[in-house]
Amino acid sequence: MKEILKRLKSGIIDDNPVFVQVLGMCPTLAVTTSAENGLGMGLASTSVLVMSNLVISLLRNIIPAKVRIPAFIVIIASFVTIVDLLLQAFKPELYQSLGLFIPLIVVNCVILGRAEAYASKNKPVNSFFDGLGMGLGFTFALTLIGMTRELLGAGTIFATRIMPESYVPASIFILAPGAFIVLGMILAVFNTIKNKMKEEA
Amino acid sequence: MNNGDNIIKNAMILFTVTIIAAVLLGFTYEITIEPIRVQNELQKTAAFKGIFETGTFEELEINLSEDSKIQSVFKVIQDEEIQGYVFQIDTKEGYGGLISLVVGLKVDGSMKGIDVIKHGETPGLGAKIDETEFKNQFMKRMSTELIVVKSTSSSDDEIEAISGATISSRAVVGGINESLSYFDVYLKEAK
Repeated sequence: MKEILKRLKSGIIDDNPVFVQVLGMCPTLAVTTSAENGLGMGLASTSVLVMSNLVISLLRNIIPAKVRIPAFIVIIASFVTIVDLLLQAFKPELYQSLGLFIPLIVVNCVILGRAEAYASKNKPVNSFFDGLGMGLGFTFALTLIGMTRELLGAGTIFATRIMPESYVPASIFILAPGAFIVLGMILAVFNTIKNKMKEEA
Repeated sequence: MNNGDNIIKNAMILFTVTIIAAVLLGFTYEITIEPIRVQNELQKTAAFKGIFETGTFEELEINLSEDSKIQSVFKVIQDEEIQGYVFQIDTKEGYGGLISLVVGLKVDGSMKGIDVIKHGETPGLGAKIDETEFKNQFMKRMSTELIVVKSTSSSDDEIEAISGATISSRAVVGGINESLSYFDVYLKEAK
C-alpha cells in the first residue's frame, strides 16, 4: 500500500514526467495548443501507459534483457493500435476528440521510459500504479500547459471565453515558440515550489 | 530480468511476443472493420443532413482521376425533385494535412453550405474552419471560383481568410472550387 501511494505521489509531483524527468517533450510541445487537447492526450497516454506497464511487468521474467527494447516497443505499439481501432469502431464521439493523438502515443518516451525504468523490474500491482501516477502527472502537466497556452493565445480555457473582450490574443502562444516559453516558465515555477515544500518538510 | 545469452532462445521469445501481438491485432482489426465503415458512413450522412435537412441522398456515378479531391457526389431529392447536390471532398492541402469536407450546392449552382468533417488544423487558428463564423461565409454564394482574400470580402467570389490561418482557409476554398467547377461542367443542365 505504501509503495502504491509512493508511486502515485512520485508520478504526479516528485518525479513528474514533464516537469522533472523532462520526458515526452514531443507530445507536450505539439499537443498543448488548447486545454482540451492537453487533457485528451494526457488521458489517452495514461490508459496506454497503465496497460503497457502492467503487461510488461507480468512478462518481466520471460522477456530476456537483450531483446527487451524491441519487445516493449511491439507491446506498446500493439496496445496503441488496438485502442485506436476499438475507439474508432465503438466510441466515435470519443474518437472525434482524441483520435488525432492516439498514433502520437507510440512515440511518447514516457511509456518506454517507465517500462524500462520500473515495470520491467517491479511487481505488476506496483507497476500498474506507477503507470497511473506517471500518467496522471503527465496529464496534469499537459492540461496546465494547454490551459496557459490557450488562455494567452486565444483568450479561452476549454473553449469558454475567459479574457475580457479587449484582450488581443498573442498567437505566438499557440505556435511552437510559445510552447517552449510556457513549458520553461511552468517548469521553473513547479520546481521552485516543489523544492520549497521539500525544504519546509 | 533474466540475462539469457542464448541468441536462439532470445530470438524465439521475441518471435513469440510478436506473433501474439500480431494475432491480437489481426483479431481486433477483423472485429472493428465493419463498425468503422458504418461510423464513417453515419458521419458523412449526418454532415449531409446538416446542409440539406430534408431529402434523400442518391449517389451519382463519377469518373474522375485519382488526383481529384472529389470523393463522391450525391443528388439531393425531395418530393421527386432535385433540390441540389452534396459533394464529399478530401484535400491534402491543409496546414495539418488532410481536410475532409462536405459541400452542398443548390440546383441553381449557389452554395447551400459546407461542413468540415475531419481536419488536423491548429486549435485557435486553422481549426476555426470548423466554426460557424467561417462556414457561414459560404452560404448563398454564387460563384464558379472562389478566391481567398485577407481583407473583407467585396464580392461573391471573395472569401475572407481566417486571421493567421491563410493556408487552412485556402485549402478549404480549394476543395470547394473543385465542386463548383464539377457542377459547372457536369451538373448545371441536368434536371
